[in-house]
Amino acid sequence: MIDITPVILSFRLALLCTIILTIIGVPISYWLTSSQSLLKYFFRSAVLLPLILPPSVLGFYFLLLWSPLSPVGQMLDKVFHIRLVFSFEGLVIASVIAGLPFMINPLMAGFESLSLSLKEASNTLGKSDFETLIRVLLPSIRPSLLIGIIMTFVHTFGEFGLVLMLGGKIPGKTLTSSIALYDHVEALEFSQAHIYAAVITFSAFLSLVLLFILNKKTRSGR
Amino acid sequence: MISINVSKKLLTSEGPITFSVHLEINKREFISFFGPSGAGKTTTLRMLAGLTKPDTGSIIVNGQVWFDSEKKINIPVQKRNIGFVFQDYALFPTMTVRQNLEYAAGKNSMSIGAIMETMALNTFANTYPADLSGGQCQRVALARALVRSPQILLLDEPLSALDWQLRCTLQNEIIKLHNQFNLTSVIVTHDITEIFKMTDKVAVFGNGTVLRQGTPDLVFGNRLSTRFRVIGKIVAFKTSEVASVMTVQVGDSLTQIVVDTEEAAHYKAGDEVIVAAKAFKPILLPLAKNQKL
Repeated sequence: MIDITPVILSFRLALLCTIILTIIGVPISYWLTSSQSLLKYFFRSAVLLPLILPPSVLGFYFLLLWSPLSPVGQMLDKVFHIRLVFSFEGLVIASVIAGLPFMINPLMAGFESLSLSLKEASNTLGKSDFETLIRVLLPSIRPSLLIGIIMTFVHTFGEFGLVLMLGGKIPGKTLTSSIALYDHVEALEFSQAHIYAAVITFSAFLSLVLLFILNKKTRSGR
Repeated sequence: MISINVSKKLLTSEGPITFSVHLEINKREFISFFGPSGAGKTTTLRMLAGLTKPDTGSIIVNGQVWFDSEKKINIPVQKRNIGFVFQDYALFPTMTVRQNLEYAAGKNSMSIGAIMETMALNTFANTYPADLSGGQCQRVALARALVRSPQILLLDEPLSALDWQLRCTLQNEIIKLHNQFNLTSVIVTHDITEIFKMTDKVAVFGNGTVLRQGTPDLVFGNRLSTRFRVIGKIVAFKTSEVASVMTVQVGDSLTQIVVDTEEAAHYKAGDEVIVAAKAFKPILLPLAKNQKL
């Protein structure tokens, strides 16, 4: 049989990233849709950049930035005593940044589809912008939030280029299932490779099925 | 008493203009804002609500300063104690009718049960807005705007999307609510019937300002006349030696008018004409539902 550790690691990585992205993605995308500031166009492009950039390029820059030879890496090492290169924490941070567009895009589309009068009506009823966001706007875009969560999860679960560049294949720390798959193929161990590939395919498919079921549920619930 | 004295740069189809408005609204008055699209009616309503910020000027409500550009005062919309009814109703889609009203509840709010009773909403308590008709949505929007016992009710073309009969019913209901809750109300409308039926005062907007204001009778006095006039179209013509008989279509109905041959020579079939009657006492008859003449 195969070693199950890489699968669990992928799952942990994907789950953590999805939780972090849900928490930071909602305020960011709300700000990007509602702000009048010209700065938002800059941030909008920055957030979408990981979508068009090859993950290996992104991983390469993180590797340079966090390396103990770079000023940033040295500062992290001296001040916080952390080294992000070849570590699970580094993978989480890099995957959060790489996963931003998968969360932000559907959320922004959701917020943009809402009539401005919903927010204004809530304001005239004495409610703050924050309460309006949590109690009125976010529930109204539940399908978009769901798409964001599942897309982020599936994408992070199977990420390859970024993890390969930045992780260094340390078992239990940075050796995720897609890296394990690659290693087995390289070693011509096709039976093990088959199992990893099947696990990734199956979990991706299951996530999509879950997405459609939940989406239907939220729709029939209203 | 509400005193609005503000100006703001507006973008219109004819380029940017500086819109400035001076208005006084008495306590418990029902005033309508009338005028062409883009004349600043809704903007004024939104400035009063605190949804749009004026560039300069002041808004004072019952001695309390809500906005003053010089003193840099701008009371946020949440603290203005107004009820606002939006043109698109703005009901919260993920909440039932009852939840929509409960969401609005604050410390001064009236009982949700009582307001649902008043607005006849009990049947729909657990219905979601998507399953309501236009008229029902409007009722919920009205009820929700009133939950927090506002002093001022602001209505932005609330009835424009509804059919004629529903409009009449809701007009009556709004008048009732205005009186029952001692409200000062403002309605933005394009409908002259609504102005005469509902409001004590009308402000006519145009050319970037308020052109006229006063009672509807006074403001529209030149349009009111005891003379009866309608516009019709000549559809048929029959001429004899002494007189001509014209068949004129007015609305859905056809009327025959006898004119002398000399006068008839000025007209031909297809012409549009004004049919007027002098010294004329119109008779009013109730129109049964779906009845045609």
